[in-house]
Amino acid sequence: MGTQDTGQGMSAPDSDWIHAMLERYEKPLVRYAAQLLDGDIDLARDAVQDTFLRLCREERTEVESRIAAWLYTVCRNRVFDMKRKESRVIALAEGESFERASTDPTPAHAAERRDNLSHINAALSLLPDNQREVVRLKFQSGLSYKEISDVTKLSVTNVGFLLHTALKTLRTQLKTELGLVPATADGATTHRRTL
Amino acid sequence: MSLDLNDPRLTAYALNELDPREREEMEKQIANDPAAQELVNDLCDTAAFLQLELGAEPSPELDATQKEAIRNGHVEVECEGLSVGRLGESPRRDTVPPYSARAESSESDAPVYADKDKIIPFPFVKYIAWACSAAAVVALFAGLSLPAMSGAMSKAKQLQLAQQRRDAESGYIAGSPQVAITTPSETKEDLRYAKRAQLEEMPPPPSPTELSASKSKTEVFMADASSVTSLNAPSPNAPSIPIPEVAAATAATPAQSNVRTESRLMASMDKRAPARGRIENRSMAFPLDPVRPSSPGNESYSAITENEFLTALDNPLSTFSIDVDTASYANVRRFIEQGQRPPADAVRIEEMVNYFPYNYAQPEGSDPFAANVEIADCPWDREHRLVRVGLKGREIAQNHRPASNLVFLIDVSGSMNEPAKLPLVKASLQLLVNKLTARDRIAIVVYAGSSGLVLRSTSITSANKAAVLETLDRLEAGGSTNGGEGIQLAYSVARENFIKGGTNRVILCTDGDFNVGVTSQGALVDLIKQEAKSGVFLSVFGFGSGNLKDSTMMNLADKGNGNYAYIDSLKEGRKVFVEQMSGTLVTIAKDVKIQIEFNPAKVGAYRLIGYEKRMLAKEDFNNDKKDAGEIGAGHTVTALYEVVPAGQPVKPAVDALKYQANPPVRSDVDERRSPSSDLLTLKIRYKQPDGATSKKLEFPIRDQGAKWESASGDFKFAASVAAFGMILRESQLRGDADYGLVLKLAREGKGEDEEGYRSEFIRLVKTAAEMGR
Repeated sequence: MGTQDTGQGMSAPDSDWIHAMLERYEKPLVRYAAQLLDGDIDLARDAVQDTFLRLCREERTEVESRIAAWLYTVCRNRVFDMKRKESRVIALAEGESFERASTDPTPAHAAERRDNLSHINAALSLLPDNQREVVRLKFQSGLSYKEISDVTKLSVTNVGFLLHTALKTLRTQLKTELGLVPATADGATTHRRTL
Repeated sequence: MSLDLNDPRLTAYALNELDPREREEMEKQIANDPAAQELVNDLCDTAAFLQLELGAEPSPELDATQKEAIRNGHVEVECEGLSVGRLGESPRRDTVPPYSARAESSESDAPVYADKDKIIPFPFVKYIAWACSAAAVVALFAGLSLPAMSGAMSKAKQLQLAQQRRDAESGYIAGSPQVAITTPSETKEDLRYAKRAQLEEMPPPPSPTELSASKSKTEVFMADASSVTSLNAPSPNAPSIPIPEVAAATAATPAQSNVRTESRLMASMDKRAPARGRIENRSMAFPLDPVRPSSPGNESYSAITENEFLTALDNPLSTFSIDVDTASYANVRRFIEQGQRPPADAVRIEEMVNYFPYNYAQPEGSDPFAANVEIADCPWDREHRLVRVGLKGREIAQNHRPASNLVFLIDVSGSMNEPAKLPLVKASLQLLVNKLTARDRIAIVVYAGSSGLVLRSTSITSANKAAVLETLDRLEAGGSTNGGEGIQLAYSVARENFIKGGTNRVILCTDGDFNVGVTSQGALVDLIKQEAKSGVFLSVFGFGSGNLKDSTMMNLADKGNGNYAYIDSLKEGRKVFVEQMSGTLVTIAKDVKIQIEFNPAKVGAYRLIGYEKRMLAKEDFNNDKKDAGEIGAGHTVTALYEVVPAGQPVKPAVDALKYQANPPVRSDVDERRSPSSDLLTLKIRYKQPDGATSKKLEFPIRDQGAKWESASGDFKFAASVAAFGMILRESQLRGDADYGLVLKLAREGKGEDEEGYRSEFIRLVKTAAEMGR
């Protein structure tokens, strides 16, 4: 895929591609790894570094067509290796560590956003691990059902089930933030009063 | 037959994960199942919310040494290739084209990647590849036999070389921008979009009524077909990384080979932002302002001079245009939530009052709306009376909504690159798209330094819905703003797909940096008026902060027969695009004017609270040429008058006239002037949405002397909002109104508050009260 026989060019050094992938996936991967590692940013960085070093050793044509799933899978395996080997997982308080690492300019709505985020994170923390992970992979990393299935080794059906269950729970828990209310059909007025 | 709400296909449906056949089947089942429908709606909302909020969660990055290690891995690999090349006595690889040449090439329509062959002349590369191929193959086997970790680097090099050789043989190009930047699963789609955008038919020749500027517009649009495509290119969830950061990171890399580092940086910059680079270059051709920095000080509001008390004898008629805009409330809320007091001119009381839905009675006859009047003591001055005029537009059930032809005109200029801007635009519009059906059509036009059609008008069938949502998702910000071009293109698309008897509307989403470019503001307003006459209306949605050009946006929506709302959260997006969708899309009456004649026998003086920007001369009421406000399906419009009963002193008092007979004052009110015991007569004029002549309604109103305590909850709440507005404006006419009164009235009037808007108002007032201390 992606091969175009134009006869006038050739493969650029793959470093360009690696750079593009690094730019595209670095932050989301560190965030993902940190979540799996209970907020340990340093370990997460190591895992992501290892992931990209492994990418350097892969044949681009082998992985390019499934790069997102590949990166998340490798990163995830690396994280579980780490968890297994290093039982010393020093958990930083999640909020604190993320705050420190944030490079984003503080937008005007930072307060509200943080508020929403902390509600979401609180709600997520109540979910079982596997549900929380698929929710993050789906909504934070933007993976498809199939990609999530590749990464987590769960079946696509199972991914669908976990997401459905998780979303239904989150919908209830985030009712206020979402502004969800008992549906008033577009147009139906419940209460009438005449003068 | 109803669906099991535990069926995971409901979520898969909401997330567009079903294949078209399953999707269609699901759609059929859901259509007959209100419970499933409600759940799917909620799931869509929850998903959009999670995506927006989690997507904006700050992400830590690798530290500099780690990035360096990854990069170094590659530099070594490349140097290896280089040295092999040198052994072969070939020209060095430092033939980096001068900057100007590169800039030129990114201007051209050739794929940006094509300039790779300038960095590494093709025949030479082929030579290296062949020269080292034998060695590489040998090394490859050696590498494979080593334990995976220990031989890592050398294996990488070998693979690299092998790869180079293969690529050189096949003439493989490193990848078009789509291939390189998107995740593979989307690549096919990308190419399809790219093709589609390129094959897009040009808009037909402009109608004779159109401005002469349209010729240059069409040319710009054509020339930009490829940059439209590239706007599509970056994949949906990739936060685009700002250039300075990358530049810094690369600079931190030790200069293995200065020339190489530089060329790599240039190449990666070209690739990362093909669209941006182009747009900026192109925009040089227009007299544009550079992207403005976003700072709170850059917002503009036009001054409001508060309506004063007028005596009923001198000014018996009060005439104004209705207004269904709600932007001011959301904007005021933003200020207060940020701990700032809103500037007085940002507070338009009528927009604050009209932000809230009220349960006024529906129209019963053939008229599109009903009028409801209520009168009681004025809570901030018990000597006065407060009159509430409430209009209620006819509700239209979702399935009776006329078909819609919508053109989203989306600002993708650099200033939109903030979480509360473009990502919120996308999420909000996705909520709307989810509500549309196969009868409805959507097109997407973007504008920045130049403008282009990203999605041609597409009907929202179940098969297309996913593609439309994805296209929205893919939009990225970059470039400076040129609104004039975009709006002409949007109108021409809307006209091409005009649905007779339907909703034809351009929906402009911007942070207000609406740079008119080649067209003057006057010409733009003329264009919008012209189009509104031909049936294409304009709605304006403001996003974000720091750059809001409130007055321009209100003016454009006003001239375009549309509404103006400010969207600062997904919740607000949901209110405008989902809960009040019919009101937002379906206009049921236009040029709605109100004229009230006060009876001087009963009324000493009166003042209209708010609506300062909507006042009309008394002659305008019967002048059908005079434009006024529109009312949408289900909309409520509320106006409040504070009335000083006849016989009471009017504050501030006016000195008696010296050169003419003074009007009768205080106790000597002349009852003989009017035998009527009416307080006032309410007159309303409106036109059908496609009509040219107006119809008049007339309602004489008598004051029954009701006490404030017996007033309806809606009335109390509206009064509370008005009082809050007066306090924020530091109005001299606010009487006894203070935060305590505002809260008391709001609590009494809160009612069921199904949507929670009123509770939110109460919280907001408390915050403001604390700030005031």
